[in-house]
Amino acid sequence: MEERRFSAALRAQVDAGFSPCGAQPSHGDVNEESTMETLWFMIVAVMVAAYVVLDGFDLGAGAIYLSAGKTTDDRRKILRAIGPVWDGNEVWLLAAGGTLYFAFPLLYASSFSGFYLPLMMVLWLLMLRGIGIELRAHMENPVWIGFFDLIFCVSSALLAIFLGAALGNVVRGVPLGVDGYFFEPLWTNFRVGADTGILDWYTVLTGVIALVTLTAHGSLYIAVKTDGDLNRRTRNIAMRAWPLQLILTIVALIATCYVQPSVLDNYKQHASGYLIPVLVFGSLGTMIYAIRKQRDKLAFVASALYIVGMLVGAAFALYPVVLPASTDPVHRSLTIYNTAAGRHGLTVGLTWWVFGMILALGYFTLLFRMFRGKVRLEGEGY
Amino acid sequence: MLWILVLALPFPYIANTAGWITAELGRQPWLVYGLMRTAAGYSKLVSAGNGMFTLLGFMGMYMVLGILFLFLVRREIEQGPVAEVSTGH
Repeated sequence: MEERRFSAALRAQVDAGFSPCGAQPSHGDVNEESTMETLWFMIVAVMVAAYVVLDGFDLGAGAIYLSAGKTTDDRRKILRAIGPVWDGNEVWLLAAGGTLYFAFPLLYASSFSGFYLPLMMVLWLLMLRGIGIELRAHMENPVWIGFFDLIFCVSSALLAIFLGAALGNVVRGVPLGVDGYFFEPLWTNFRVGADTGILDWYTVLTGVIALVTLTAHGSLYIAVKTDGDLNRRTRNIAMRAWPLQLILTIVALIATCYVQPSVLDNYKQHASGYLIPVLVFGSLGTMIYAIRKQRDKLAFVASALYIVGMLVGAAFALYPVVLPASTDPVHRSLTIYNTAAGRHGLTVGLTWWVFGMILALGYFTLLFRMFRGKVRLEGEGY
Repeated sequence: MLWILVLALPFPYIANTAGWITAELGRQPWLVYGLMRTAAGYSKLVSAGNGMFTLLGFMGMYMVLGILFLFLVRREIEQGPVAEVSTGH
Protein backbone atom coordinates (compact mmCIF):
# COMPACT_ATOMS: atom_id res chain seq x y z
CA MET A 1 0.00 0.00 0.00
CA GLU A 2 2.93 2.27 0.75
CA GLU A 3 4.27 1.41 -2.73
CA ARG A 4 1.07 2.45 -4.46
CA ARG A 5 1.02 5.78 -2.63
CA PHE A 6 4.65 6.27 -3.56
CA SER A 7 4.12 5.56 -7.25
CA ALA A 8 1.06 7.80 -7.33
CA ALA A 9 3.14 10.52 -5.78
CA LEU A 10 5.87 9.83 -8.33
CA ARG A 11 3.39 10.21 -11.19
CA ALA A 12 2.10 13.38 -9.64
CA GLN A 13 5.67 14.65 -9.41
CA VAL A 14 6.33 13.85 -13.06
CA ASP A 15 3.12 15.59 -14.09
CA ALA A 16 3.74 18.57 -11.87
CA GLY A 17 7.25 18.99 -13.22
CA PHE A 18 9.15 17.86 -10.12
CA SER A 19 7.93 20.13 -7.44
CA PRO A 20 9.33 18.61 -4.26
CA CYS A 21 7.42 20.75 -1.84
CA GLY A 22 4.12 20.44 -3.67
CA ALA A 23 3.73 16.84 -4.72
CA GLN A 24 5.02 15.12 -1.59
CA PRO A 25 2.74 12.67 0.16
CA SER A 26 1.70 14.36 3.34
CA HIS A 27 4.17 13.22 5.92
CA GLY A 28 6.98 15.09 7.53
CA ASP A 29 5.00 18.05 8.71
CA VAL A 30 7.18 20.04 11.06
CA ASN A 31 4.83 19.38 13.93
CA GLU A 32 4.68 15.65 13.28
CA GLU A 33 7.08 13.28 14.93
CA SER A 34 10.25 13.25 12.89
CA THR A 35 12.65 10.97 14.71
CA MET A 36 13.23 8.84 11.60
CA GLU A 37 14.24 11.83 9.49
CA THR A 38 16.39 13.22 12.30
CA LEU A 39 18.02 9.84 12.80
CA TRP A 40 18.90 9.60 9.14
CA PHE A 41 20.20 13.17 9.17
CA MET A 42 22.59 12.12 11.92
CA ILE A 43 23.52 8.93 10.06
CA VAL A 44 24.41 10.85 6.90
CA ALA A 45 26.42 13.35 8.94
CA VAL A 46 28.32 10.53 10.67
CA MET A 47 29.09 8.83 7.37
CA VAL A 48 30.35 12.05 5.82
CA ALA A 49 32.53 12.59 8.89
CA ALA A 50 33.84 9.01 8.60
CA TYR A 51 34.76 9.66 4.99
CA VAL A 52 36.62 12.87 5.74
CA VAL A 53 38.54 11.33 8.65
CA LEU A 54 39.51 8.25 6.63
CA ASP A 55 40.11 9.48 3.09
CA GLY A 56 41.27 12.79 4.54
CA PHE A 57 44.59 11.31 5.51
CA ASP A 58 45.00 9.77 2.05
CA LEU A 59 44.37 13.19 0.50
CA GLY A 60 46.68 14.82 3.02
CA ALA A 61 49.39 12.28 2.32
CA GLY A 62 49.01 13.08 -1.36
CA ALA A 63 49.16 16.81 -0.73
CA ILE A 64 52.51 16.54 1.13
CA TYR A 65 53.80 13.77 -1.14
CA LEU A 66 56.14 15.87 -3.24
CA SER A 67 57.44 18.05 -0.41
CA ALA A 68 57.84 15.45 2.34
CA GLY A 69 58.89 12.69 -0.03
CA LYS A 70 62.36 13.84 -0.95
CA THR A 71 63.76 10.50 -2.10
CA THR A 72 62.25 7.63 -4.05
CA ASP A 73 62.32 5.53 -0.89
CA ASP A 74 60.41 8.22 1.00
CA ARG A 75 57.77 8.38 -1.67
CA ARG A 76 57.47 4.60 -1.75
CA LYS A 77 57.02 4.64 2.03
CA ILE A 78 54.23 7.21 1.80
CA LEU A 79 52.51 5.12 -0.87
CA ARG A 80 52.92 1.99 1.24
CA ALA A 81 51.46 3.80 4.24
CA ILE A 82 48.21 4.61 2.43
CA GLY A 83 48.41 1.75 -0.07
CA PRO A 84 46.30 -0.96 1.60
CA VAL A 85 43.64 1.43 2.86
CA TRP A 86 43.07 4.27 0.42
CA ASP A 87 40.59 2.43 -1.78
CA GLY A 88 38.44 1.29 1.12
CA ASN A 89 38.55 4.78 2.60
CA GLU A 90 37.32 6.28 -0.66
CA VAL A 91 34.34 3.94 -0.65
CA TRP A 92 33.01 5.82 2.40
CA LEU A 93 32.32 8.70 0.00
CA LEU A 94 30.12 6.41 -2.05
CA ALA A 95 28.53 5.06 1.11
CA ALA A 96 27.78 8.56 2.35
CA GLY A 97 26.46 9.60 -1.07
CA GLY A 98 24.39 6.45 -1.32
CA THR A 99 22.94 7.00 2.15
CA LEU A 100 22.15 10.58 1.21
CA TYR A 101 20.40 9.34 -1.93
CA PHE A 102 18.49 6.77 0.07
CA ALA A 103 17.37 8.96 2.94
CA PHE A 104 16.96 12.36 1.28
CA PRO A 105 16.40 11.68 -2.43
CA LEU A 106 15.12 15.16 -3.24
CA LEU A 107 18.19 16.74 -1.65
CA TYR A 108 20.33 14.38 -3.73
CA ALA A 109 18.40 15.33 -6.88
CA SER A 110 18.62 19.04 -6.24
CA SER A 111 22.21 19.27 -5.05
CA PHE A 112 23.75 16.87 -7.54
CA SER A 113 22.12 18.75 -10.41
CA GLY A 114 23.00 22.14 -9.00
CA PHE A 115 26.60 21.22 -8.27
CA TYR A 116 26.91 19.28 -11.52
CA LEU A 117 30.19 20.63 -12.87
CA PRO A 118 32.13 20.63 -9.57
CA LEU A 119 30.86 17.12 -8.87
CA MET A 120 32.14 15.94 -12.23
CA MET A 121 35.47 17.57 -11.49
CA VAL A 122 35.60 15.82 -8.12
CA LEU A 123 34.88 12.56 -9.91
CA TRP A 124 37.71 13.12 -12.36
CA LEU A 125 40.08 14.13 -9.57
CA LEU A 126 39.21 10.94 -7.69
CA MET A 127 40.00 8.93 -10.79
CA LEU A 128 43.29 10.76 -11.29
CA ARG A 129 44.27 10.26 -7.64
CA GLY A 130 43.78 6.51 -7.96
CA ILE A 131 45.57 6.38 -11.30
CA GLY A 132 48.49 8.32 -9.86
CA ILE A 133 48.94 5.78 -7.06
CA GLU A 134 48.43 2.59 -9.01
CA LEU A 135 50.14 3.21 -12.33
CA ARG A 136 53.23 4.81 -10.87
CA ALA A 137 55.36 1.73 -10.37
CA HIS A 138 54.54 -0.02 -13.63
CA MET A 139 57.53 1.34 -15.49
CA GLU A 140 61.07 2.09 -14.36
CA ASN A 141 61.07 5.26 -16.44
CA PRO A 142 61.72 8.47 -14.40
CA VAL A 143 59.47 10.54 -16.70
CA TRP A 144 56.64 8.07 -16.16
CA ILE A 145 57.16 7.97 -12.41
CA GLY A 146 57.50 11.74 -12.12
CA PHE A 147 54.35 12.29 -14.16
CA PHE A 148 52.20 10.05 -12.02
CA ASP A 149 53.75 11.46 -8.84
CA LEU A 150 52.63 14.90 -9.95
CA ILE A 151 49.14 13.69 -10.83
CA PHE A 152 48.77 12.03 -7.43
CA CYS A 153 49.95 15.10 -5.51
CA VAL A 154 47.99 17.72 -7.43
CA SER A 155 44.74 15.75 -7.58
CA SER A 156 44.88 15.01 -3.84
CA ALA A 157 45.41 18.68 -2.99
CA LEU A 158 42.68 19.84 -5.37
CA LEU A 159 40.29 17.27 -3.93
CA ALA A 160 40.85 18.64 -0.44
CA ILE A 161 40.08 22.17 -1.66
CA PHE A 162 37.00 21.08 -3.61
CA LEU A 163 35.54 19.13 -0.70
CA GLY A 164 36.04 22.12 1.57
CA ALA A 165 34.39 24.40 -0.97
CA ALA A 166 31.48 21.95 -1.23
CA LEU A 167 30.89 22.16 2.52
CA GLY A 168 31.11 25.93 2.28
CA ASN A 169 28.42 25.93 -0.39
CA VAL A 170 26.11 23.82 1.75
CA VAL A 171 26.51 26.10 4.76
CA ARG A 172 26.31 29.36 2.85
CA GLY A 173 23.23 28.37 0.92
CA VAL A 174 22.45 28.20 -2.75
CA PRO A 175 20.00 30.07 -4.99
CA LEU A 176 17.15 27.56 -4.84
CA GLY A 177 14.14 28.07 -7.07
CA VAL A 178 10.55 27.54 -6.04
CA ASP A 179 10.64 23.97 -7.32
CA GLY A 180 13.60 23.13 -5.11
CA TYR A 181 16.18 23.06 -7.88
CA PHE A 182 19.10 25.31 -8.68
CA PHE A 183 22.16 25.49 -10.89
CA GLU A 184 25.25 27.32 -9.76
CA PRO A 185 27.94 28.52 -12.17
CA LEU A 186 31.51 27.94 -11.11
CA TRP A 187 31.88 31.56 -10.03
CA THR A 188 30.05 34.83 -10.51
CA ASN A 189 31.59 37.79 -8.74
CA PHE A 190 33.21 36.00 -5.74
CA ARG A 191 30.84 37.90 -3.45
CA VAL A 192 28.36 36.29 -1.12
CA GLY A 193 24.97 37.75 -1.86
CA ALA A 194 22.03 37.03 -4.06
CA ASP A 195 23.95 35.74 -7.06
CA THR A 196 26.48 33.24 -5.77
CA GLY A 197 28.72 30.89 -7.68
CA ILE A 198 30.35 27.71 -6.45
CA LEU A 199 33.47 29.73 -5.70
CA ASP A 200 33.25 32.94 -3.76
CA TRP A 201 35.46 34.30 -1.00
CA TYR A 202 33.68 32.21 1.64
CA THR A 203 33.88 28.87 -0.14
CA VAL A 204 37.48 29.54 -1.15
CA LEU A 205 38.16 30.12 2.56
CA THR A 206 36.52 26.82 3.50
CA GLY A 207 38.47 25.14 0.71
CA VAL A 208 41.75 26.48 2.07
CA ILE A 209 40.94 25.46 5.62
CA ALA A 210 40.09 21.97 4.36
CA LEU A 211 43.43 21.79 2.57
CA VAL A 212 45.35 22.88 5.67
CA THR A 213 43.40 20.53 7.94
CA LEU A 214 43.81 17.51 5.68
CA THR A 215 47.48 18.30 5.09
CA ALA A 216 48.07 18.21 8.85
CA HIS A 217 45.89 15.10 9.18
CA GLY A 218 47.75 13.27 6.41
CA SER A 219 51.15 14.35 7.74
CA LEU A 220 50.31 12.97 11.17
CA TYR A 221 49.19 9.68 9.65
CA ILE A 222 52.46 9.36 7.73
CA ALA A 223 54.32 10.25 10.92
CA VAL A 224 52.55 7.39 12.72
CA LYS A 225 53.34 4.93 9.94
CA THR A 226 56.99 5.78 9.35
CA ASP A 227 60.17 6.37 11.29
CA GLY A 228 63.44 8.14 10.73
CA ASP A 229 63.70 11.14 8.45
CA LEU A 230 60.21 10.89 7.02
CA ASN A 231 58.68 10.69 10.48
CA ARG A 232 60.56 13.79 11.56
CA ARG A 233 59.75 15.71 8.39
CA THR A 234 56.01 15.01 8.42
CA ARG A 235 55.72 15.87 12.09
CA ASN A 236 57.39 19.18 11.26
CA ILE A 237 54.87 19.84 8.52
CA ALA A 238 52.03 19.24 10.97
CA MET A 239 53.71 21.50 13.52
CA ARG A 240 54.08 24.32 11.04
CA ALA A 241 50.52 23.88 9.75
CA TRP A 242 49.06 24.11 13.24
CA PRO A 243 49.11 27.90 13.78
CA LEU A 244 47.56 28.33 10.35
CA GLN A 245 44.91 25.77 11.26
CA LEU A 246 44.10 27.60 14.50
CA ILE A 247 43.83 31.00 12.86
CA LEU A 248 41.78 29.69 9.95
CA THR A 249 39.39 27.88 12.31
CA ILE A 250 38.64 31.12 14.13
CA VAL A 251 38.38 33.09 10.88
CA ALA A 252 36.10 30.44 9.38
CA LEU A 253 33.81 30.47 12.42
CA ILE A 254 33.48 34.25 12.28
CA ALA A 255 32.99 34.21 8.50
CA THR A 256 30.30 31.52 8.81
CA CYS A 257 28.37 33.55 11.35
CA TYR A 258 28.58 36.54 9.02
CA VAL A 259 27.57 34.67 5.87
CA GLN A 260 24.84 32.52 7.44
CA PRO A 261 23.59 34.21 10.62
CA SER A 262 21.17 31.39 11.40
CA VAL A 263 23.99 28.97 12.23
CA LEU A 264 23.97 30.09 15.84
CA ASP A 265 20.24 29.50 16.40
CA ASN A 266 20.53 25.83 17.25
CA TYR A 267 23.42 26.54 19.60
CA LYS A 268 21.44 29.16 21.44
CA GLN A 269 18.45 26.86 21.78
CA HIS A 270 20.38 23.79 22.88
CA ALA A 271 23.29 24.72 25.10
CA SER A 272 24.70 21.18 24.83
CA GLY A 273 25.86 22.23 21.36
CA TYR A 274 28.61 24.30 22.96
CA LEU A 275 30.40 21.03 23.69
CA ILE A 276 31.28 20.98 20.00
CA PRO A 277 33.52 24.09 19.99
CA VAL A 278 35.04 22.69 23.20
CA LEU A 279 35.84 19.50 21.26
CA VAL A 280 37.25 21.47 18.33
CA PHE A 281 39.58 23.68 20.35
CA GLY A 282 40.37 20.89 22.78
CA SER A 283 41.56 18.69 19.93
CA LEU A 284 43.57 21.54 18.46
CA GLY A 285 45.29 21.98 21.82
CA THR A 286 45.90 18.23 22.16
CA MET A 287 47.32 18.17 18.63
CA ILE A 288 50.06 20.69 19.29
CA TYR A 289 50.83 19.17 22.69
CA ALA A 290 51.16 15.69 21.17
CA ILE A 291 53.22 16.96 18.24
CA ARG A 292 55.65 18.67 20.62
CA LYS A 293 55.91 15.55 22.76
CA GLN A 294 56.39 13.42 19.62
CA ARG A 295 53.35 11.31 20.49
CA ASP A 296 52.25 10.74 16.90
CA LYS A 297 49.29 8.46 17.51
CA LEU A 298 47.73 10.87 19.99
CA ALA A 299 48.25 13.74 17.56
CA PHE A 300 46.57 11.80 14.78
CA VAL A 301 43.58 10.90 16.96
CA ALA A 302 43.31 14.54 18.02
CA SER A 303 43.35 15.60 14.38
CA ALA A 304 40.58 13.11 13.61
CA LEU A 305 38.54 14.45 16.53
CA TYR A 306 39.08 18.00 15.26
CA ILE A 307 37.65 17.05 11.88
CA VAL A 308 34.71 15.25 13.51
CA GLY A 309 34.09 18.31 15.70
CA MET A 310 34.05 20.71 12.78
CA LEU A 311 31.71 18.55 10.69
CA VAL A 312 29.35 17.72 13.56
CA GLY A 313 29.33 21.41 14.41
CA ALA A 314 28.27 22.26 10.88
CA ALA A 315 25.58 19.57 10.92
CA PHE A 316 24.34 20.74 14.33
CA ALA A 317 24.15 24.30 13.07
CA LEU A 318 22.29 23.36 9.90
CA TYR A 319 19.66 21.02 11.38
CA PRO A 320 16.87 20.59 10.25
CA VAL A 321 17.79 22.43 7.08
CA VAL A 322 19.90 20.33 4.71
CA LEU A 323 20.44 22.93 1.99
CA PRO A 324 19.70 26.56 2.84
CA ALA A 325 18.26 28.80 0.15
CA SER A 326 20.01 32.11 -0.29
CA THR A 327 17.02 33.34 -2.31
CA ASP A 328 14.30 32.74 0.28
CA PRO A 329 15.63 31.07 3.42
CA VAL A 330 12.28 30.63 5.12
CA HIS A 331 10.23 29.07 2.36
CA ARG A 332 12.60 27.57 -0.15
CA SER A 333 15.26 25.89 1.98
CA LEU A 334 15.47 22.17 1.67
CA THR A 335 14.91 20.56 5.05
CA ILE A 336 14.78 17.01 6.28
CA TYR A 337 11.01 17.34 6.17
CA ASN A 338 10.55 18.17 2.52
CA THR A 339 13.31 15.97 1.11
CA ALA A 340 13.13 12.75 3.11
CA ALA A 341 12.04 9.45 1.63
CA GLY A 342 8.93 7.68 2.88
CA ARG A 343 8.74 6.55 6.49
CA HIS A 344 8.41 2.86 5.61
CA GLY A 345 11.47 2.95 3.38
CA LEU A 346 13.54 4.70 6.01
CA THR A 347 12.61 2.09 8.61
CA VAL A 348 13.49 -0.85 6.40
CA GLY A 349 16.71 0.88 5.42
CA LEU A 350 17.68 1.34 9.03
CA THR A 351 17.71 -2.41 9.61
CA TRP A 352 19.95 -3.00 6.63
CA TRP A 353 22.16 -0.03 7.53
CA VAL A 354 22.90 -1.58 10.91
CA PHE A 355 23.94 -4.88 9.29
CA GLY A 356 26.01 -3.07 6.70
CA MET A 357 27.71 -0.89 9.29
CA ILE A 358 28.61 -3.88 11.45
CA LEU A 359 30.21 -5.55 8.41
CA ALA A 360 32.01 -2.36 7.40
CA LEU A 361 33.35 -1.64 10.88
CA GLY A 362 34.46 -5.25 11.27
CA TYR A 363 36.25 -5.17 7.96
CA PHE A 364 37.97 -1.86 8.66
CA THR A 365 39.11 -3.00 12.08
CA LEU A 366 40.57 -6.14 10.52
CA LEU A 367 42.24 -4.13 7.76
CA PHE A 368 43.92 -1.58 10.01
CA ARG A 369 45.04 -4.24 12.47
CA MET A 370 46.50 -6.31 9.65
CA PHE A 371 48.58 -3.39 8.41
CA ARG A 372 49.50 -1.85 11.73
CA GLY A 373 53.01 -0.74 12.48
CA LYS A 374 55.63 1.16 10.56
CA VAL A 375 55.95 0.59 6.83
CA ARG A 376 58.87 -1.43 5.52
CA LEU A 377 60.32 -1.25 2.05
CA GLU A 378 60.94 -4.97 1.52
CA GLY A 379 58.77 -7.31 -0.46
CA GLU A 380 56.30 -6.76 -3.26
CA GLY A 381 54.35 -3.55 -3.46
CA TYR A 382 54.50 0.09 -4.41
CA MET B 1 46.97 -24.78 -29.93
CA LEU B 2 47.37 -22.57 -26.87
CA TRP B 3 47.57 -19.50 -29.11
CA ILE B 4 43.78 -19.69 -29.49
CA LEU B 5 43.54 -18.67 -25.83
CA VAL B 6 45.41 -15.46 -26.69
CA LEU B 7 42.83 -14.70 -29.38
CA ALA B 8 40.15 -15.11 -26.72
CA LEU B 9 41.59 -12.10 -24.84
CA PRO B 10 38.99 -9.49 -25.86
CA PHE B 11 35.98 -11.74 -25.27
CA PRO B 12 35.35 -10.94 -21.58
CA TYR B 13 35.31 -7.21 -22.37
CA ILE B 14 32.96 -7.75 -25.30
CA ALA B 15 30.67 -9.93 -23.19
CA ASN B 16 30.60 -7.44 -20.32
CA THR B 17 29.91 -4.47 -22.59
CA ALA B 18 27.31 -6.39 -24.58
CA GLY B 19 25.48 -7.21 -21.36
CA TRP B 20 25.41 -3.57 -20.29
CA ILE B 21 24.31 -2.40 -23.74
CA THR B 22 21.50 -4.96 -23.69
CA ALA B 23 20.31 -3.82 -20.29
CA GLU B 24 20.52 -0.08 -20.94
CA LEU B 25 19.12 -0.15 -24.48
CA GLY B 26 16.56 -2.79 -23.68
CA ARG B 27 15.02 -0.72 -20.90
CA GLN B 28 14.20 2.19 -23.26
CA PRO B 29 11.94 4.14 -23.33
CA TRP B 30 11.50 3.46 -19.61
CA LEU B 31 13.74 4.73 -16.87
CA VAL B 32 11.60 3.06 -14.23
CA TYR B 33 9.59 0.41 -16.04
CA GLY B 34 5.97 1.41 -16.41
CA LEU B 35 6.36 4.49 -14.22
CA MET B 36 8.81 6.98 -15.67
CA ARG B 37 10.21 7.50 -19.12
CA THR B 38 13.85 8.42 -19.72
CA ALA B 39 12.71 11.65 -21.37
CA ALA B 40 11.08 12.68 -18.09
CA GLY B 41 14.06 11.80 -15.93
CA TYR B 42 16.78 14.24 -16.87
CA SER B 43 17.97 17.09 -14.66
CA LYS B 44 16.05 20.08 -15.98
CA LEU B 45 18.61 22.63 -14.89
CA VAL B 46 21.74 20.99 -16.30
CA SER B 47 22.11 22.42 -19.79
CA ALA B 48 22.96 20.34 -22.83
CA GLY B 49 26.32 22.09 -23.04
CA ASN B 50 27.29 20.93 -19.58
CA GLY B 51 26.18 17.40 -20.41
CA MET B 52 28.20 17.40 -23.61
CA PHE B 53 31.29 18.79 -21.87
CA THR B 54 31.26 16.11 -19.19
CA LEU B 55 30.41 13.36 -21.68
CA LEU B 56 33.38 14.31 -23.85
CA GLY B 57 35.51 14.63 -20.73
CA PHE B 58 34.68 11.11 -19.63
CA MET B 59 35.11 9.69 -23.12
CA GLY B 60 38.50 11.35 -23.41
CA MET B 61 39.64 10.16 -20.01
CA TYR B 62 38.49 6.60 -20.62
CA MET B 63 40.13 6.56 -24.04
CA VAL B 64 43.45 7.66 -22.57
CA LEU B 65 43.13 5.10 -19.79
CA GLY B 66 42.23 2.40 -22.30
CA ILE B 67 45.27 3.14 -24.43
CA LEU B 68 47.45 3.21 -21.33
CA PHE B 69 46.00 -0.13 -20.25
CA LEU B 70 46.66 -1.75 -23.63
CA PHE B 71 50.19 -0.35 -23.60
CA LEU B 72 50.95 -1.73 -20.13
CA VAL B 73 49.34 -5.12 -20.80
CA ARG B 74 51.36 -5.44 -24.00
CA ARG B 75 54.55 -4.71 -22.04
CA GLU B 76 53.66 -7.35 -19.47
CA ILE B 77 52.94 -9.97 -22.11
CA GLU B 78 56.14 -9.13 -23.99
CA GLN B 79 58.20 -9.53 -20.82
CA GLY B 80 56.87 -13.05 -20.46
CA PRO B 81 56.54 -15.06 -17.27
CA VAL B 82 58.81 -14.13 -14.35
CA ALA B 83 61.37 -16.86 -13.69
CA GLU B 84 60.59 -18.82 -10.53
CA VAL B 85 63.13 -18.11 -7.78
CA SER B 86 63.96 -21.39 -6.10
CA THR B 87 63.57 -21.07 -2.34
CA GLY B 88 65.74 -24.11 -1.70
CA HIS B 89 63.81 -26.21 0.79
